[in-house]
Amino acid sequence: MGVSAPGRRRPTAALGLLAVLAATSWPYVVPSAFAHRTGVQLLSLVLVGLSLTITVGWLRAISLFQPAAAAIGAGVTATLLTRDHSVGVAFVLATAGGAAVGLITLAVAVADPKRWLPPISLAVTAVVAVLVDQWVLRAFRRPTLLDIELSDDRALYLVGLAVTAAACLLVTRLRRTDLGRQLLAVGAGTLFASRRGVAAGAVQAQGIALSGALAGAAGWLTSLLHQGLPSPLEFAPVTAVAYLAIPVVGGVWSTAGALIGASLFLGATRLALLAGTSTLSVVAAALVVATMWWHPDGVAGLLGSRKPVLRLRRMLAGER
Amino acid sequence: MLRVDLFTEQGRPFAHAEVAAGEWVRLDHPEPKALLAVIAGQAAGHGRVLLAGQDLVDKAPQERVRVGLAVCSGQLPDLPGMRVLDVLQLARPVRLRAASWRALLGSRRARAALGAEEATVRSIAERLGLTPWLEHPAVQLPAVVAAAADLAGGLAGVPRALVWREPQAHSEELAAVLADEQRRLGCAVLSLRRGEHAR
Repeated sequence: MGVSAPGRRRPTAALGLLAVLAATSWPYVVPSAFAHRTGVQLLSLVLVGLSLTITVGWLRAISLFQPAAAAIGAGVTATLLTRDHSVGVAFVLATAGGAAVGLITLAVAVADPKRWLPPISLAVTAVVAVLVDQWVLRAFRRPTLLDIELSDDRALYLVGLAVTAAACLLVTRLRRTDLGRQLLAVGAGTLFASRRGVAAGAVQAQGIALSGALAGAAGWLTSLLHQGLPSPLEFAPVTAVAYLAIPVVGGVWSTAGALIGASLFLGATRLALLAGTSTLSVVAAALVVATMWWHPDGVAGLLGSRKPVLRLRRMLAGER
Repeated sequence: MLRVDLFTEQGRPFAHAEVAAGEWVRLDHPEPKALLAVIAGQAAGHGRVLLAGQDLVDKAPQERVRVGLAVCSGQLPDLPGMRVLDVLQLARPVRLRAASWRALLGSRRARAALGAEEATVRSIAERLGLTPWLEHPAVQLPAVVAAAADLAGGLAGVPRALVWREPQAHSEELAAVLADEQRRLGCAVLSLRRGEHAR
């Protein structure tokens, strides 16, 4: 057509491999149980981040039901493990419960999901938070999984890492499948998507169910970490809003964005605690404002952009 | 193959066209965008749109695509997160959609089927001059590239009939390629241009 395309950079798989090696080996270098537990919390946030990547990033719908899905996942896990059921069964039912929360939310907002999903999902989170608060469960002893003693925090971290790594791989590969393409097309606009034979309603349902399942898995991991239900604040509506900082800060399109956003979110909340403030919403709001002001595509977008390199080259060449 | 008989709310003729398989009909119409929306099923219309004798009036837009109708507006919206290649593969035939999941789980046969389909899409893209753009994000594309990508996306679904709104620029270049594709696919083509009178 006589118009040439600009050059494209290709991501390197070596960086990913390095990250996996680092993530797997650091618990053996750092023997602190506190560090291992922090690692598990980070993995849980990564799962939430992946959940939000599908809804906020691909479907471009603000979804606030992630804490509700995580709460159901945690509650189901705690209930089953107090009755000596297996961790594997708890995982399956926790993810199914999370998916169900997502689908129920979408069913209520079905008239116009993009408009109604934010308030409906926030309402669902508020209702589930109240219900979970009434849920009285005794603490459970972490069982074994395939002969791995989960009572050891390092072992729990490594099992959580395997689950999170599988989720990251699934979301990354999903983007190049028909469902991934359809989710992105529906997010861009149902008019164009339907002209290409995409049934927007069915695609939204699949995306929301998958998102809910990932949040349910986050709840499963959190329940194992706390050996019961964690603090009610983890499932509160304010937490739902604060979680939006993860995709916004990290980058809404990719798995890398979820990883980066979750790391920054956890780091910022820990720093805030050290500084004497525990207000999650303040921390999240500060992160979001800083990102929108500095680089709206988030950290993952900045890393994938050539602008900083070009700016540096110009600087070194003495140009303005 | 494709028959369009549409009327306004007042009962006046809005558009009429009959296109046989392998035939190309150019229709001048004062409101090509509105006509395209009605044919695609995205706007209410009065009358009939028949494809191989099947009335599409009550069918949702995605159902019309499944029975073999491709609608190309000559433009492409910004699609962040997608490459141009992804956009072309959106209209993948339904029979291959399940293969996508099997390939994710490691099925070699599914991967082979998808590989063959991708090769077909790439060859269509090559004929439309899109090869250098396939890995480019589908945002802020030059108008001619967007028009070519939209057309390629419609052809990739192997349609029985294609309704194409001719873009204002580069339409002759795209029409030449479309004519070759029409001969290859044997589909009916109805192209719409802004004009004073409906034919």
